[in-house]
Amino acid sequence: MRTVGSLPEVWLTLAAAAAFGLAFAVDLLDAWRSGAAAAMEAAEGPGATRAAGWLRGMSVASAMTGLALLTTGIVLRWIGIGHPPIFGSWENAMAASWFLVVGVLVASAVWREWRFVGLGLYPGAVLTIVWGLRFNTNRIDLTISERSLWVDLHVLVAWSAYVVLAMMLCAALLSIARSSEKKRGRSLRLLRALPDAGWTDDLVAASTGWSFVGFTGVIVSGAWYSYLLFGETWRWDTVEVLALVVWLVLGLALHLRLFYGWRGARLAAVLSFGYVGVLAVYWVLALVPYASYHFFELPF
Amino acid sequence: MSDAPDTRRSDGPPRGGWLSRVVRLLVSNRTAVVLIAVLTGLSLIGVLYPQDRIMSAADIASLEQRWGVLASVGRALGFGSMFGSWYFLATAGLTCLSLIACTLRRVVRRRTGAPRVPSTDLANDPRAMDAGTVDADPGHLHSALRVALGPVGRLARMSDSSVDGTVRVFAETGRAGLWGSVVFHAALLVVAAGGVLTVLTWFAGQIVVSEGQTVVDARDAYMSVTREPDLGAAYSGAAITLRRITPSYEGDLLTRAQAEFEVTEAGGGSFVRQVEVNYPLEAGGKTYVLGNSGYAVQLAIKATGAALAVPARRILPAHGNLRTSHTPDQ
Repeated sequence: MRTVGSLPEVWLTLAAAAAFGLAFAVDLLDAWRSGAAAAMEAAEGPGATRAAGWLRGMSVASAMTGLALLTTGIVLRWIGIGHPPIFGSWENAMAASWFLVVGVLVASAVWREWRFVGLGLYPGAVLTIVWGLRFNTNRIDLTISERSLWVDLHVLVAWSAYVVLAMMLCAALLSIARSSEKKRGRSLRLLRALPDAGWTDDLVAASTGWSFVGFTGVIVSGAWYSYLLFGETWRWDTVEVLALVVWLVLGLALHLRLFYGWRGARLAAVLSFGYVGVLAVYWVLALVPYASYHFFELPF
Repeated sequence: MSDAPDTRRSDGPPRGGWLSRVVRLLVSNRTAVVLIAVLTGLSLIGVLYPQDRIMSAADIASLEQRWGVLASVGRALGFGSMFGSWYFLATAGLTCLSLIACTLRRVVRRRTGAPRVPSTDLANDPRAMDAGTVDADPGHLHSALRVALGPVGRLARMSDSSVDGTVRVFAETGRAGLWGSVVFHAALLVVAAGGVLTVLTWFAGQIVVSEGQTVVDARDAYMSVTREPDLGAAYSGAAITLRRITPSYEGDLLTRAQAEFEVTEAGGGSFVRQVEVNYPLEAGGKTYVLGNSGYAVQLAIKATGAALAVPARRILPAHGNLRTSHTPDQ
């Protein structure tokens, strides 16, 4: 049995994961209750139920508490080791979950229709932290090549794009669920209060566009860093090529939507396929030694 | 790669000569989508199928033993060197041509005045909106539409056409958005052109230089050259002097190696640069990246038992296996 360790940031991150889990549970309850309320209002008219605003408030408070704990952990580690959390799967898990939760809070505060995304991103943050615990949590110095502001920028752009891509996946999965409802002729209670098919299509379109822009930024910043480090902007590295595949899939989806009117489950299936590539780029290939120079995992 | 749905039928009899057919094919959105899909598929195969450049002969033999016929078929189809294969390069080249054709078509169409009124049923157009039948003068309808569209109306262009006595008004929005898309696609073309130029002018080699030493960028200065350019000169004739290199350590970990280079270009100009990991030296059209830094073998030549050179001097903490080549006078 592997021990978690005595570093304070590890315990703070675990506490944050618990808070994110609670936020997810509350959001789930809220969606369930709202679904029932929507059905009741549809049957008995507007005002038949009272919106449970406190559930929404509790979810946000829980997520904010978790975010504060995680931020404290990240700051402690940053001060302790002298670099932002960019090296190794544990630090990546901390950074990814931080970005995911910030993404939920910002998106749901600015755009009401994105509120449902917590149902996907909160558990995503928890799973990411649990995944990170499988790896070395010790504080380790950056290697010489990682000591560059361009690396920091590349990572910042990469995690920002990752959040938008995760939101895109949530919208795509909702779109698939909506198509399934349409086929079966009845709606799921949990989904009733979530954006309808029309809104979902718009959310899929917007998030695909932003994902494409974000991923372009990831590739461009990575190419520039590659030039500084190796003297070549493109090396046909496995991670680079898979990133290119993801980028092409996003471009393909945009063109299919624009010129061939692809909507709903068909488009969502293409995007979900692309997201498998995203997971491989961010998490899987980085664990395979010699497959890529994006290998940052450190042995226990 | 174009802003309007491609409503022209491409399955009818071919019109014009082969050139116009090729052009029609290249400006087609369907061609663009198919090419992107093929490029995606080939790249994915390149990720999944182990590439020769990162595999040893033993790994390749092991792969063929493990995967049998599948590996043999893959090798026969050239999957092992996917990104240098003729079909990958041909697809990439055709995608670039499609990109040029589609981008030009968009700009030309936008500059030639009114938007094209779709000739086919608008019901098949995913972006069309049927506002119903309105009994109004087209001019008045234009004005009313602009008011109804609000700020977007200022960006919309409208035209009308008469089909079977019914006047159809077609409004097209997104004039500003067009340029974002055009600039993006043009940027991709610049990247593609840069890629082609890089391949043609690509040089790769390793050069060894010690502190205080000057090397002139010529073939005999290189320890190894793995690639010489197909276009342009391979060697610049620039004189490169390593003035000094300063390594820094945190414990046993090398955290920085800063080298100071002085470069005198073949044309006569000279400059000094601090070079380290992530900060390459650019001189004479080449980029010099600092590789392994700081150490070289020092030979102590002895004749009849008496040393002629200064013995090697250790300068690094806790690195008994590394000895400096720093011998200032000899």
